[in-house]
Amino acid sequence: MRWLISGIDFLLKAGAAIGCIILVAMTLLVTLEVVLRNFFQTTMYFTDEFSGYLVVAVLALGAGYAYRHDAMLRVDLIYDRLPQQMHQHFGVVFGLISLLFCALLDWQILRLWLRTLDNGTHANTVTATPLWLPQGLLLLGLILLTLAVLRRLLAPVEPQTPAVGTQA
Amino acid sequence: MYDIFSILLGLGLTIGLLLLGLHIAIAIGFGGILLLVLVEGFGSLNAIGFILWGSLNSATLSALPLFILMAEIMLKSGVSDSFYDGMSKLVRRIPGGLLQTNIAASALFAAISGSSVATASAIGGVALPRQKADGYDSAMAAGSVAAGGTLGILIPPSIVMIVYSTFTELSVAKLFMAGLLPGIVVTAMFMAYIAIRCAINPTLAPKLHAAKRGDTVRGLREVAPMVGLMLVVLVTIYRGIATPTEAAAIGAFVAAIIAWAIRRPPLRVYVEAIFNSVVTSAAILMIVAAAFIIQYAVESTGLANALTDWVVGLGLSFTFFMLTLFVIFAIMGCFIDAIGLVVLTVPLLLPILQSYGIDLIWFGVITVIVVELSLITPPVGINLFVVDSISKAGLATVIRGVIPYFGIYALLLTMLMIWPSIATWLPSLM
Repeated sequence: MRWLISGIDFLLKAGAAIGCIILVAMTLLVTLEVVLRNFFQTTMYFTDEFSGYLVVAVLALGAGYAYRHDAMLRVDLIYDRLPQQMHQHFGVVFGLISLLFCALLDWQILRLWLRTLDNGTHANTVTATPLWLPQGLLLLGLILLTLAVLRRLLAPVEPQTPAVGTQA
Repeated sequence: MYDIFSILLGLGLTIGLLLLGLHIAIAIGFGGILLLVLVEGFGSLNAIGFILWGSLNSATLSALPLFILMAEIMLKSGVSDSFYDGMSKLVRRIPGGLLQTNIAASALFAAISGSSVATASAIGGVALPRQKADGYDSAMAAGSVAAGGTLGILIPPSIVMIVYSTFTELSVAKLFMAGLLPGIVVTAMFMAYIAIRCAINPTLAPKLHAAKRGDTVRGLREVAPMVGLMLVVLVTIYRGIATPTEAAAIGAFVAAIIAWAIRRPPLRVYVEAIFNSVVTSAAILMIVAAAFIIQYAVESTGLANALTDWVVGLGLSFTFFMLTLFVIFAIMGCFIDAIGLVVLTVPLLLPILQSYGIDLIWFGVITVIVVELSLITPPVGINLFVVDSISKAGLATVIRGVIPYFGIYALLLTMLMIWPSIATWLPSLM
């Protein structure tokens, strides 16, 4: 069991690390586009298209890690006032609901991805990007999120104060 | 097909799970799926893949992680640390001294950080212990920090506005500009309130030491990085040099350079900032993703149309309709965070707003103000708890300090109802 949990933790961290690289790439790509357009009167044509793919990748690859570290936003008004024992029961019920939700998403995104792959669908843009690539990142991220939910069910961790500020 | 029992069950379960503490994204997404299955059957789920891909794959949404990255770099690198001191040197002459600094510093800090809670914690952590030692009135100090923290979601760049734009298909640039003037007006009103109170009763804020020579220059130098960064973002958007997404990328890039120039932080600090940005962005974007599912459910079950027909059938006047909305939003906002509130209500309200002929840009500003208001609504507004935990002044004292700001927000809402151009004038120039 222990190797499974540390394996999942490793995958979640690796996913978030790739998400970080993608965020940096997105920053540089979009900044470069502004510089090219304003100072060299040229454009890369694909910046808007790619930043769309990249934001999906940041979401998907970061979600599992965010779930693992309890950074997903929640309403804690009632939850925090419940006795400790109730937290455990709620944790199991919430974990099962989350697992069901994630499995449904995985299934639907897998269907989308397989269809894209079968049809060889390309983006209707200059780059004609094969869409199975960015959609594959979304699928990969959602599978990581499912693993994070499963990991929480197998070895519950007490919610900590999120490492990051909630964007209220 | 419209089936009231299934809809009530689906929506009831969503709200129930949300309030009990299931993650907002999962509660909303699961509720949407449940609604679809109950009303339309399992076959309706087959569209979810297309909907998620089609809506999330958006250049507009990519502004969100980039603005968060910009803020994280400024916060983590410590560039924002001397900002409070700098601001205090600039606004010290206005009656109220450091209380004025709380408001002015919060307004700018919150605009950059985009987070009310983070602002109240950051400014409160610096300001409250110092003001307690200096003998400031504790209710006034706590109230100004709690209320000041709320200013950031109105003053651009605002994450909530980006989320609002994805559901209304409005220009983010125009929404940002629409929030700017009301943001400045309410900041000025907050500062005027403190000045008047302290002029009438000088014991609320002790006299500051006489200013030293060169204080203004030093102050300007200390606030320059934050102000400069904000100007870069706003001017590039307003002048049409960059889209909000591009301005966000430039903002993050410039923030990294400013941090390097001023603090020379180790690489580890940048890595931490990027990691935090990915985590925070993913958490917010998951809510947006789930909201697209519930929006699809609400549309395909005919719920939005049924609700519109019902509200229009009531024949409410515009003012009464808006007042009812204010109350509902203010109550919901106490329980659900800003983004959750926007994604849950806006898709449902859109057809009703259109039937009343309401300007959606103006409504975006109104929504954000009501969300801000809910952050300081006694007894559950989250900023009250944040400030109470820092100041240890007691929740009752914090609430006493905050109530006048509540009145000021109500005044601002009234002004916006009477003179909508406070919000719509700036975007109309673009």
